[in-house]
Amino acid sequence: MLQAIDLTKRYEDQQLALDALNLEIKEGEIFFLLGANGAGKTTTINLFLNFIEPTGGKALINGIDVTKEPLESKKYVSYVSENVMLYGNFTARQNLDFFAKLGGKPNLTKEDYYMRMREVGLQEEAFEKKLKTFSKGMRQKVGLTIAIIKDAPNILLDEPTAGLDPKAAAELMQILVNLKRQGKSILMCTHDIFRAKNIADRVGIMKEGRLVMVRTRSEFLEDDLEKIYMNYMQEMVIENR
Amino acid sequence: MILHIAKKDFLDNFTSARFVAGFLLCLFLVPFTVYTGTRLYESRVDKYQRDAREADEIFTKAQVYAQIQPVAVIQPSPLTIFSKGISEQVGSKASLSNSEIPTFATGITTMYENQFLNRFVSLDFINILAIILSLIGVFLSYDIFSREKEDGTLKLLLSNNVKRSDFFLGKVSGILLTFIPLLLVCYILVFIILWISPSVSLSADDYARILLLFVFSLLYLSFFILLGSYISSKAGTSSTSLIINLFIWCFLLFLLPNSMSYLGKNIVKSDNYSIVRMNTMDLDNEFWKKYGELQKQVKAETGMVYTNWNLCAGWNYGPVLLCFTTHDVMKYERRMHELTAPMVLDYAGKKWHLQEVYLNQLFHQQKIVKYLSCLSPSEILKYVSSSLCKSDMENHVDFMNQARNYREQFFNYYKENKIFSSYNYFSPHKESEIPKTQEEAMKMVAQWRSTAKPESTFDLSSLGFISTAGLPRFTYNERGIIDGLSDQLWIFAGLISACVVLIWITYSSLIKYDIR
Ligand SMILES: Nc1ncnc2c1ncn2[C@@H]1O[C@H](COP(=O)(O)OP(=O)(O)O)[C@@H](O)[C@H]1O
Ligand SMILES: [Mg+2]
Repeated sequence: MLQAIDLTKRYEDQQLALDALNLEIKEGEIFFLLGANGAGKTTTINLFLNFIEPTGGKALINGIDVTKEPLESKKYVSYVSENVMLYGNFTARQNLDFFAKLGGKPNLTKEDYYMRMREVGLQEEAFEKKLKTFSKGMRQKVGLTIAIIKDAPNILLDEPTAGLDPKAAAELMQILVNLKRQGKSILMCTHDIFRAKNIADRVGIMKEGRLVMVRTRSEFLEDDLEKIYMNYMQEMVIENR
Repeated sequence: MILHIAKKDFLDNFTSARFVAGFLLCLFLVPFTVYTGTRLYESRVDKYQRDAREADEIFTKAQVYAQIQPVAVIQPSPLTIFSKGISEQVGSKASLSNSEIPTFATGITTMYENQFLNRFVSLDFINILAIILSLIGVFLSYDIFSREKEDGTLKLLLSNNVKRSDFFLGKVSGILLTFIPLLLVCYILVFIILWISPSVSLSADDYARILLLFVFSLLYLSFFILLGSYISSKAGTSSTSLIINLFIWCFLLFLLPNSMSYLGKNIVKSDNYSIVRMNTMDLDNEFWKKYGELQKQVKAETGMVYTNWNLCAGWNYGPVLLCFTTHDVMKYERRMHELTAPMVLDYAGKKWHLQEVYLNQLFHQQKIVKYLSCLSPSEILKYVSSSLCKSDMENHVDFMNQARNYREQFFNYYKENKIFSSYNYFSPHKESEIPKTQEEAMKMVAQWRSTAKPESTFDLSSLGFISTAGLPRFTYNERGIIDGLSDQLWIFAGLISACVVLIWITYSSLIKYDIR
C-alpha cells in the first residue's frame, strides 16, 4: 500500500512542486497519475523513494514512513524509471543478477532470469547480449524485469512508456495487469491517457503540484476522460498565456 | 552489499575500453623501461667492478705507503632499475687523499646546479608508474558516481535497501580491486625481466623493499582514485569531472613539482662552488708558505745541501717513491714528510669546514625543495621509492660520510703507527740499505738495472710491494630499510592523511549527493 499524507515539496528555489498531496493506493490497484510536463509526477515518486526530502507531510510505504526508515521502506517498493540505460557492458542477465542481489534475491539461477525475461516478452537471443546493443523498448523490458524479480508489494513507474512503440507499450500494460492480479499496488505516472483508459482502476490528474481530480474506473468510463483531461490542460494553456 | 557493488564495478571496469587501453600501455611501456634500466644497471656494474679492482690495486700494487690514497667505491643496487633517484648524477666513487676531504664523489654530472635535486627527466619504472597509473586512475574514477547518475542506474540502485556508505565503499573498492591485477602484472613483468637478466640478483632485503614499493604504489594510486571520486561526486556531469580531473592531474604531476622546485631553489640560495674553491685556495697558499719555511728549517736541521733524488716516481708533498738516494737526502725527505704530513691532514680539515658549509647549503636546499614538491603525490612516490631503492640523497650522503670516516680512520692508522715518519713511507729501501755516497748509489742503480732488467726507467716493480694486510680497508655498511624509511616518514604520513581526508570528504559529499 502506498500513502501520501499532505505530502508537500518546495524546492530550494521556492518552486512549489507538490502541494499537500493526499493519496492512497490499495493492494491490487493500478493508479494512473496524469499530468503535463512539470506537473509534479516525478517529484511524487522521488519523495516515495526518499531521493528528496519532503518539506511537509509524509509518504508511507506499507505503513512505513520513508523519511524515518528509508532503508526499511525500500524493501517494499520496486521502481521503474523513465529511461534507464542500465550497465551497457553487462548482458541482460548480468544486469538482472546484480539488481536481484541488491533487491534481496541472492539465490536466483540463470534459468530463473531466463524465465522472467520470457515472461516480459524479451527475445531469447537477447538474454546474453550486452545491454549497450539494446533498443529503448528492450531496455525498458529489462528494467521491468528487475522490478518483477524484486517482487515488492508496491511498484512505482515513472513514464515507462515514453518513447516506446505502441506494441511494446501494450505489452507493458499487459504485464502491469498481471502484477495487479498478484495484489501489487501500482503507481504509474504518465501523460499517456489512452493507456489509463485501458487498465487504470483510478486516475488522478495533477496540475502545478496539486491533485486536481480523481476518478474511479466506472466514473471516468462514464464521463469522457479525454475531455476532462483536455479541459484541464486547456486551462493551463490559457493560464500560461 | 559492498561486495556486490565492488564486484560489479570490478567486472565493469575490467572489461571497459579505457582500462584495456591502459593495460596495453603498461604492457608496452613497463618492459621497455625496465629493459633499458637493466642495461644501464649492467653498465654500472661493469664500471663498479673496474673501479673496485682499481681501488684494490692501490693496496696490492703499493711499493711505499705514500702511494696509498684510498678510493671508496659503492656497489650499484639492482633496485635502481626500479627507481634511479639521483644515483646517476652524484657518482659512486670517492677519492680519499690526505690533502682533501671530498665534497662530492667523483663522477658528478654538474657543478652549476645542486646535484642532490631530482631531475625531472629520468625514465625509470617508478616514474612510468607515477604517470601511467595516476592517469589510468583518473580515467577510471572521474565518472565513478556521475556515470551512474547519467545512466539512471544510481536511482535504480538506491531504490533498494542499499546504504549510501555501502554504495560508496563498494564503488571505491571496486575500482581499487581493478588496479591490483594491473599493478601485479606490472611488477611481475619487471620480475620476469630481472630474472632473465643474468647480471641481476636480488637479495631477501631487496624483495622486502620491492614489496614495500608495491604497497606504496598502491597507496599512490588510491590517492588518484579517491581524488577522481571526490571530483566526480562534486562535478555536475562526467565531462566536467574529466576536465577538472585532467587539469588537477597535470597540475599535481608537472606544474606543482616544477614550480615548487623553482621556489625552493629561490628560498634557499646556495653559494657558487667556485667561490668555495677560491676560499680553499687561500688556505692552500697559507699552507705552501708554511711548507717553504719548513723546507728551510729542515735543511738547516739535517745539513742537506744538494737534493739529488737519483730515482723518483711521483710527488705528493714530497717524493712518493724514492730509490737509490743518498743518506743525507733521505734523511731530509723523511723529516719533511714527518713534519708536513700532519699539516696536510690539518689543512684538509680546515678546508673541509668551508666545504661543509657549502654542502649543508645544498642539503638544506634539497630538503626545502623536497618538502615543497611533496605537495605533489607523484613526488612523494619518487622520494619514497628512491629511498627504498637506495638511490636518494640520504643514501648517497651516508656513503660519503662512511667514506670520509674511513679516510679519517685510515690516516689515523698512519699516524698511530708512525708511518709518516718512517723511510718506508716514501722508499722501498730498508734504512740499512740506504747508500752513504753518490758513488755507492750509482753502483746500486747499475746493479739493479743489470739484475732486474726493468722495462723502462720507471718500471720499479722489481723493488717489491709492501704488505698492506694490516691497513684499514673500506667496507660500506648498507642502511637498513627502517633507517631509510624513517627519513620519509613525514611525507609518507602526508600522503596517507591526504587519502583519509579524501575518503572523508568524498563520503560526506556523497551523503548529500543529489541522485536525480
Ligand atoms: N531539483 C529541482 N529544483 C527546482 N525545481 C525543480 C526540481 N526538480 C523539479 N523541479 C520543478 O518541480 C516541478 C515538478 O517537476 P516534476 O516533478 O519533474 O514534473 P513531472 O515529472 O510531472 O514532469 C517542475 O516545475 C520543475 O521545474
Ligand atoms: Mg517527470
